[in-house]
Amino acid sequence: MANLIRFIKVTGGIILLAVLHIGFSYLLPYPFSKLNIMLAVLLLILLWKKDGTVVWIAFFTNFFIELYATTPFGIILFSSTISVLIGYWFYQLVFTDRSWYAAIGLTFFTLSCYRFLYLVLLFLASFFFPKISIPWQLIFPMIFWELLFTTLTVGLLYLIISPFNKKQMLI
Amino acid sequence: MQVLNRQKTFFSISFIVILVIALHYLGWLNPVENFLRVIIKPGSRLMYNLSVKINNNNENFNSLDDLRNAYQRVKEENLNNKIDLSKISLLEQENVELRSQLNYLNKKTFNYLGAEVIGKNIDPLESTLVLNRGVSDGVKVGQPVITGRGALIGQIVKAEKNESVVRLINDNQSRLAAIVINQDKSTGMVEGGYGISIRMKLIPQNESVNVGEMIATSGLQPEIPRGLFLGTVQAVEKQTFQPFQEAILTPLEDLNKLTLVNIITFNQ
Repeated sequence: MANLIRFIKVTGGIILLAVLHIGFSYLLPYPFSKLNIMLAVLLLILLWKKDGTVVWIAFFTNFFIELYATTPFGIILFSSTISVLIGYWFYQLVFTDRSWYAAIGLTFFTLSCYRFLYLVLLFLASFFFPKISIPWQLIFPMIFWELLFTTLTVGLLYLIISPFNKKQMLI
Repeated sequence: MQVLNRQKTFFSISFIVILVIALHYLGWLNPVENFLRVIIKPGSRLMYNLSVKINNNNENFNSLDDLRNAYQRVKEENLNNKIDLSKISLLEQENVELRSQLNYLNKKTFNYLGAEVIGKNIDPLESTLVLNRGVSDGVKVGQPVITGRGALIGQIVKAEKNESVVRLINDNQSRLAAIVINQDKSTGMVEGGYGISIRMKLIPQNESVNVGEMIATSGLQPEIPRGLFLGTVQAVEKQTFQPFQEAILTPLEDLNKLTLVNIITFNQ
């Protein structure tokens, strides 16, 4: 029974996260709409819960996102899941001091990793799908705004929520 | 030992992701994907409608004079439009008669399929909308999508069972053969990828293009009929050493506030 409730909670959370990610990109004006709310929430979950289930949450949430993407299926799914996995390892090995600037560093690193993998896969896919043309002149400003707003959001939210997490640890 | 474990984890997760991708391309995940779309559709529709409501800012006026002037301008435009409309309807009748006298054969007839916008793509590098019509309604990749007033907003790039994705004309991968409605009937290529505006390239240097002129599809692409409006010329960029000039266009419709559209389906 407990497992069933946990499953329902996680599934509901994944759907909510996907809708939240889609909704924020609709509601916020440019360039704030470039905030990657999904990655921000995933990293906050990692910073809060400190376990690797976040990789599977990333996998399932991005599966939803893939359903509406026009890039060939798999590019977003692969790059986001692997970058969250690498981010999780870096959280265990490199960004270990649990401060707000470590949260910013982790976000910057994970998001950079995600966009790097995304662009590499998109470039490779352009050989198999001739209709893909990569707009290099647009990509870098977009990634800059995405990095800026996502790292600031995670840093700020972590600063707000981290004291509550410490209290929870003490109890 | 830890490094070995990490390698194992990396390869097993990569394997699962690749397996899911392979199953998708084999079509085995279609039932699951359709079920997930049904789940996410209401949430996406709700958020999109909310965003249209929130972003649908009314025009503000600084003074009563501004408002009065704007009203006067709209009144004049309305009068001009009425005159144009009567002329067009006369020409339309004349055109039908002449065609029938010439026994002109219409190879293609168009049907319009109404669709509701239920979401938009969240990838920062794309400009697409999700529609609530799919393959089961006769939607196919490549079909043009227009607003009720006949302005082209994009083309279908992905068609699922009950949903489809339309690439907007301001998307960086959008390319359309177009014509300026001027004396020279200048032809060119309308491209997206410049934010909210779009550009018409490859217009011959010796032809005269002016601000305010309308731009429509030229009909040179087999799947896009001639005469669908794309926008008006906002600025012209002309350099003497270049063989072509460029025009910056403003789309006729605000592409962020679309709620209902029409998909053009062909009857061969």
